[in-house]
Amino acid sequence: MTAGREQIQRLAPQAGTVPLFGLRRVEQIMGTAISFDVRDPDVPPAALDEAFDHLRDVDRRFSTYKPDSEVSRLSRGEMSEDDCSPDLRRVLELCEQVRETSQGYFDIRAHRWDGGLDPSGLVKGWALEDAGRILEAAGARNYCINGGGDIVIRGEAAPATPWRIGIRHPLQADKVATVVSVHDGAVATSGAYERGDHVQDPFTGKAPQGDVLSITIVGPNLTFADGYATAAFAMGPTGLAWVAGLAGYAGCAITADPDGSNGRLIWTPGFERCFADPH
Amino acid sequence: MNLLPKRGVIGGALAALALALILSFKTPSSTGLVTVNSNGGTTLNSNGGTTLNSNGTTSGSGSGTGLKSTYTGQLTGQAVQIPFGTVQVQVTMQNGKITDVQTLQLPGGQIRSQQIGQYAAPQLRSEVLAAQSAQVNTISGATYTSMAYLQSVQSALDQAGA
Repeated sequence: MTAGREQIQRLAPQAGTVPLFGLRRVEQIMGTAISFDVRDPDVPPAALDEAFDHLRDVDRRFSTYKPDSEVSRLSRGEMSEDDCSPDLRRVLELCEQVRETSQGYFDIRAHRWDGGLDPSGLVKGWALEDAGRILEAAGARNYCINGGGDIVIRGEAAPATPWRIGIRHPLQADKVATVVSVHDGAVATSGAYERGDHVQDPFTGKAPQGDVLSITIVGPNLTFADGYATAAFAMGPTGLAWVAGLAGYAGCAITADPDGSNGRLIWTPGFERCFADPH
Repeated sequence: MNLLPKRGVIGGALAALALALILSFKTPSSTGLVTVNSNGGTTLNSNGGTTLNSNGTTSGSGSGTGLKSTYTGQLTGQAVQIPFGTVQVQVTMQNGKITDVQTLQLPGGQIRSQQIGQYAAPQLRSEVLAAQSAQVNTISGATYTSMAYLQSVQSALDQAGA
């Protein structure tokens, strides 16, 4: 992927407007747009530079689209797992952990047609968590990071005002299906509408069965939320029930009605605490 | 496809599945609850759904609650490069609220991209206006093109101090 270095530098507020506080910036990395929204007034912009540099570095080392990335070399058998960097070994461990928890539905060896390794379903979440830690080291306590729809949230959008995260309606682009609020945590969504049917059932090699259009996971850590969303979506109709058994994580799914005219929101016990508005 | 035959049955069916899976999966779950919203969940209907907060007021898509702007006028967003083209929008605002989004550029250089672009323009515009009406700070599950679109919108909003 071409990782454009497009940036939105905050522009000086125009006359008649209330000045913004905090920092916001979006860049294209890892084949998607990654946005940072920091609401603390005193975080230096250099912290965003460092966080984006980290994400570009992860992309360079972990991308399956870059033939010279560490992941690509490992995938081709040009190096062994023992020779991998500590970061890649850690990612492989985490992937294995999610594979076991999901009974094989998250499997970095089963997603690609050529049998190559594809840890993308977890790497982005892991990298965004680290990017958040870079912001925190610079004093950020209230921020939102969104990488292609997978989100790390800390603190509040404004004093006494929680962050509001819309869950995209898979059938109707002019709707969000619901709005959740998270104080410190992660939100990850996997769905068929996102760049085509890219999540496969690893046991069939095909798109998941059933009427589930998207699955959203909320929990403490985006590394796992990202992997769990991928696994749960691959499971098809049983995915949300599996999520219900995950300690510390909750989820909701949007399923299609049989006639396809509308969708239905269902959720696991505990997810109702995340709803931003009364249901 | 229609494995879930009747709406009212979904909760019960999933609850049964949940129970079966909890027994077969060795998960670290400590919760005693295994039902998936057994009272049926919420139907999202084509008229806007029961979960929508459509009384949107001041908050723009991607901008924050608590950030107020009274900007009125048109703003041109940044041209965002994506692998199959360029996305750029023009945002119309009235008293700090987005009233319209016009697409200035969407991928159109190749036949396939053109189809994507023509399909995407009204959809993406809808997505931005929906985000505003639901007063959200960000969206989970956005598509690649829509993230680029929102990036262009955001750059316009930044100019407005929205």
